[in-house]
Parts: sequence; C-alpha cells; structure tokens
Amino acid sequence: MAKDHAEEMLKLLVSYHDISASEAAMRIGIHIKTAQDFLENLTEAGFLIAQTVFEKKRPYSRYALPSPILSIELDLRSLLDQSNQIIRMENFIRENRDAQVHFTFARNHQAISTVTLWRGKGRHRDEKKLSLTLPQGRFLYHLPFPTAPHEPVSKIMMLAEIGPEYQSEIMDLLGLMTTYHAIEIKKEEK
Amino acid sequence: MNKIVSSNRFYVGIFYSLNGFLAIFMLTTNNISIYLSILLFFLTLVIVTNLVFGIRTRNPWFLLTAAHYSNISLAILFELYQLETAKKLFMILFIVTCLSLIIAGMKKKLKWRKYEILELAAQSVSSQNNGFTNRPMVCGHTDLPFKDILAFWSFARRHLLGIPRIFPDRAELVLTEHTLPYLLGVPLRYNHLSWICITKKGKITVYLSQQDYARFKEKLTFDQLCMAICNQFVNWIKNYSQGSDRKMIDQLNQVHSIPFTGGLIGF
Repeated sequence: MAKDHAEEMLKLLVSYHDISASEAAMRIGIHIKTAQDFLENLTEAGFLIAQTVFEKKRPYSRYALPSPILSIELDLRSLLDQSNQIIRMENFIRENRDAQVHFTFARNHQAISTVTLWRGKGRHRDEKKLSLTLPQGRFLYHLPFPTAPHEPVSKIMMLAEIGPEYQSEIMDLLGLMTTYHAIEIKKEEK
Repeated sequence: MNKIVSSNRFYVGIFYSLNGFLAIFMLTTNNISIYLSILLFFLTLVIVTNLVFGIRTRNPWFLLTAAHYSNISLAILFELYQLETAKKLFMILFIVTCLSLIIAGMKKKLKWRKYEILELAAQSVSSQNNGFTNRPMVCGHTDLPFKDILAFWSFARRHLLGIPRIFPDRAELVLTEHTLPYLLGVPLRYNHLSWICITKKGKITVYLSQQDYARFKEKLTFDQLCMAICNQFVNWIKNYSQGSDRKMIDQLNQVHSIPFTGGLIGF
C-alpha cells in the first residue's frame, strides 16, 4: 500500500470490473512482475478476489475489488501472544544465580531505574541496557534474590503493587531477561 | 572468631604517633616555622572536619576531638610567636583532652559501628550460598510507629551507627564508616554504601553493597544476611521504643573490634 504505484493501481481496481496483472502493468507503465506482486499481496490480505481464467489453455488471474470501501482492523494482541511464550503469570521465578546483570536503582531507592544485561564472553559478549518503566522497576525491586525461594509472577506483581494493566510490559521485560539468563524459571513448585 | 574483615584504615597507632610527634615538636622545635605552618594548616582541616562530623552526627565527642586539635594548633601558634606562658597552659589542656579522648576511644564513643552491625548480623547466618545481587531486598513490613523509627535513627546517628536521611515518605539509615565526602555532605552517588530504609507504610528494605559483602570472610547466603540485618534493626527499634537502648550498645560493644575507626583524627 505504501508503494509509489499503489494509488494508480487502486484507481484501476475501482474503475475496472476486474483486471489482470498484465493489463494493469501496461496501463500504468510498470513491470508486469511488480503489478502481479502487488495484486497477489492484496489478494492474500483479503482485499481482492482473484479468479483464474484460461486464454488458449493458459491460465492467468483476474483481480476484482469486492467493495470500493476498504476497512482495516488489526488485532495487535496476536503479536503479544507470540512474544510472551517464555514466561507466564503462574511461573515461579527468581533472579538467576550466575546472571551477568547490573541493576541501578532510582534516586528514591524504591525502584530499579535501569538494568544492564550481558551474555557471552570475550569478543562475542553482548550487552543490553534497558531503561525501565516505573512498574517494571518496581517489579525488579521485588524480584526474589538468587538464593531466595522462587515466587510466582502474579505474587511479585502483587507485592510490588502493580496492577494487571501492566502485565504485558512486565512479561516483555521478563522475556528479554530470560534470554539473557538473568531470570530463573521454576515451572512447578515442589 | 569474627566473620568479617576489619577495614580500619587508621589504626590506634596513628593516633598515638601523631600526638606523640606533635608533643615532641611542641617541646623541642626552634627554627622549623615553615614546617609548623604547614602542620597548622592540616590541623585546621582536621578541626573543621571534626566540627562538621559533630554537627552531622550530633555526637559531642567529635567536638572534644576538635578541641583537642585546636589546643595543639594554638600551642604551635604560640610557639611560632614565642609565647612561653601560653604554651604551658595549652600543654596542660592538651594532656587533659588527650586523656579524655583515649578514654572515649576505649569506650568506642568515636567508632563508626558498621563493622559491629554487619558482624552481629553475620553471626545469625550459617549457610554459605553466596547469591549476591546488587539490588536492595524488600525484607517485609513492620507495624512500628514512624515516629519511633525517626527517634531511633536519631539515636543511631548520635551513636555512629550510620547517617540518617529523612524523606516525607521514608527514613533511611546509611551505614557508613569513614567515607569522608559523604560525611562532609558532598552530593555524589554513594552506591558503595549500604543502607536500611523504612517507609511510612512500614516496608523495610535493606541494601548491602558489594564492597561491604566482599568484607565477609565466608560467602554467606546473601538474602539471609540482608534479612538478619533487617531483623536486627527491627529488634533494636523495638527495644529502643521500650527504653532499653543500653542493651543494644552493650551488644555492639561485645563484638571484638578495634576501638577506633579513625574518628579521632577526623576520617
């Protein structure tokens, strides 16, 4: 949709009952492959209907706009579900004993303000410095120590007085920290 | 046997050596006015430092230290101007203040108590599981009234347990020893200093710095150590609010340690 030829292609789709990639390409003056990719992508996204027709036994597609009005609805929660598979609310967690992590606490000494994570060794050492939101900072402040018993994420949030509306940003942080081996997860409490 | 390594940079010997040298100089020097002038400058710094310590801690013994070094400074000054009678007077005063300071030192009146606090906490921790992290530990809640905590922090300052920092929502006690910039009030980030914080809602947090943790001879389990410090302070505050503060001082005095931290010479 962001391509230079998108507007002209959409004009054609509105004007024509149905159109093939070669017709559109020649009409606008672009390469046939470019036109075909554009139309196929829109078809995959469900905005166009493609119909296969035969000309001298050679099949090709004709594209039609089912409605001149396009409405887009994006469910961003699907992105969230994919990224939060590492840690769940019911998981028991604590700081990893051998974590390469450094915490800097806020001036009021009641939250963590930044966390620096490292992984790897020598030239392959990777550093990630994160500036935390206040709920994230309060969560890490209450995270059990490496030698303390594991606690469920939900309980730590409760101790840190963090509401459920901040759950996703906490999970995002924990997911990242887990990839840096800074969080130890215990699946079930014995 | 103590579980923590003493980090006293200024041992009692320095105190005696310094005063011994000064006394000898007062009696024997003749044409060393430049040296005495330099000495006078440094002694003035020590006096100012002790006065600042006295004001910040409300500990009157620092004023005695300042008076002691003022005596020496004045004696040197009179020596420079050849005032024999005044020199004798200040010699007597020097002996009086010197003896008073030795007695105060032996009674640990001028000793920062961080060493004893950490040692007492360590005595209740037996497991050695390390687990250090440079985060403060939320140790729990107390229902002690906030005014009792403030009163205890004030008491702790006077007895050199630490320097309190009071905020509208919380009160902290910074466990310090001879961190000169901190004691002089220089505004820096002192992440190497441990502290205990109690909020108005009663939440207790303990921060044990890496530098202090490294002083323990054994890698004691870190969360248990923080919890031990917390419990120790809660008990002390309770005892203090019930009027038995002497018990706490006795407990601290029982820890085997050098009686001075360097407070006598100012840092």
